[in-house]
Amino acid sequence: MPIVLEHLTHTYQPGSAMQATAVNDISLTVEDGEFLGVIGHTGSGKSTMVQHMNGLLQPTSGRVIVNGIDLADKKTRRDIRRQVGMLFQYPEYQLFEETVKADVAFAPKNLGVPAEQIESYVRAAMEKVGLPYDEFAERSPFELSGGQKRRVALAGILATAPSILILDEPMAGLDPVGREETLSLIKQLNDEGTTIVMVSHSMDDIARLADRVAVLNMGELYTIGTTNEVFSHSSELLAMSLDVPHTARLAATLRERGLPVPEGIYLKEQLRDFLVELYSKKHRSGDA
Amino acid sequence: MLKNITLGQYYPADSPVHRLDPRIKILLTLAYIVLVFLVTNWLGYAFLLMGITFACVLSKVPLGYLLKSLRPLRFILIFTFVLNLFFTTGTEVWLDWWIFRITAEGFYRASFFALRMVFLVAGTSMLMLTTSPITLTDGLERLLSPLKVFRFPSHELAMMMTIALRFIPTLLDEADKIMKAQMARGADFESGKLFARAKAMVPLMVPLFVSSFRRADELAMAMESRCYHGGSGRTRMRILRLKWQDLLAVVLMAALFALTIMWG
Repeated sequence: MPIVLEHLTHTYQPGSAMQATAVNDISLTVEDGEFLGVIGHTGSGKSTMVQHMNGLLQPTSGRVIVNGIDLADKKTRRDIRRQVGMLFQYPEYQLFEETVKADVAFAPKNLGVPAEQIESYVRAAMEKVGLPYDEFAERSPFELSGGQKRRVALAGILATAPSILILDEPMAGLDPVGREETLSLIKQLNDEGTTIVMVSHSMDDIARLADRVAVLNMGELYTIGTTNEVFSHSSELLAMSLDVPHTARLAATLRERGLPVPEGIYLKEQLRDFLVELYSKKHRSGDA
Repeated sequence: MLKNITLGQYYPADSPVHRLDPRIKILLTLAYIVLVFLVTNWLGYAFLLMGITFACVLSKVPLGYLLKSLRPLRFILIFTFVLNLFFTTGTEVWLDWWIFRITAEGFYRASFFALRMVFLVAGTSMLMLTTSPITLTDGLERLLSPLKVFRFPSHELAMMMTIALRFIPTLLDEADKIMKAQMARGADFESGKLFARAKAMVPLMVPLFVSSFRRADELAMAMESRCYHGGSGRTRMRILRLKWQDLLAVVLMAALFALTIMWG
């Protein structure tokens, strides 16, 4: 069980006038190799919650256990950060080195990858994100395009070969092509066994990729369940003024107009199959 | 971790002191500073104490806030006090031990100078506590505008200060984010010797620099597209007008001045 949160509570600036509890008594478990989507409003505590998963924030109360290690122990922090990669929103803003190679090597160097292996880790990470090593290694990250910069940043996270990847809005500000590329890369990593926790505002991305979805509301865990379960409660999500996948919304509209669309349809393939079946049935009955 | 830095000292409240014209407030503070240096006896300090207490009560700023502004001063205070205490020569010896000699004159002198500093800081803090940074720069701009005759760029200066103030929270926020991102990549900002620590700042400073330039560029573009072209011919949304309260404040200050000059 890679990530266990036990009654996690986090209060910013406790004791001051600006005291604010961002995360309140959240307990959940992320299984090995799972893809967990985290959704919720701005200010619902998503980012605060995931920042506990590699020890960037310490719980005000409660426990965080990653791969069997309690994160309250500061000595294990280096190991944890090597195992848990974390990609922030607009990660290209974290680039600072003179060459792409040096920037990607920053994390493995800090986190205790043996010096002679660093280059092979860097090479592997860069190839994974689609930046050929020989072409990009010596270039300055600041002269690359936006999409390339983001890939360098992602390579910088993957360079320690983490078994868990935390992604906080990884697609923000990307163009459709970059978005699609990033999505398929994340999917590929997940297929290869990396556990992924992804915070996103895009319900379509979550619907496509996630195995399970956690819904946060006002710092509390509103619900957690399989993607299917969560998105079949579209109306509840809408009541929290959260978005639902486009297909779920379309299905709801069709249902209102009197089509017998069942609950739990949120992928366009599902809806397509249902509609095809429905109409071919109708067609047959019309024939008879 | 960077969140708990508060910007300036401004204590938001609605009080007659807060509503005073910033120009008047700045000028009164200057007058007050001069006054502090004119005080020659304890009675003078009593007058000042009266004045500052009056302003504090009127401004609804809790006394604790005013005292807190003295905290950064504590080492200098102790230092000057001790220095004056031991190095003032006098006749009435209180304590004479080894190389230390404390005289009554020394004690009075030390207390006197320490108090002078306390009053100085308390007065300027009163200004900072009751005036928001934006209003303050606004007032400063107006006060400096006569210097335009000598081509002094008072508007540009005020605009620069306003923008700088505006971006402090943004940059703090950004620094916090970048710090977290680098910590996730194993950067260590908290341990190591001085040199190692300074070096560890590079992964924070470079991205912060890059993004400040980007922001500056975007801001310049946004201002330009709204036809900003410097101070000349620019009208204002909040026009500063003197009211009877401002006049009253000046009169009160003048009274304090007179009292202090005569008996203090």
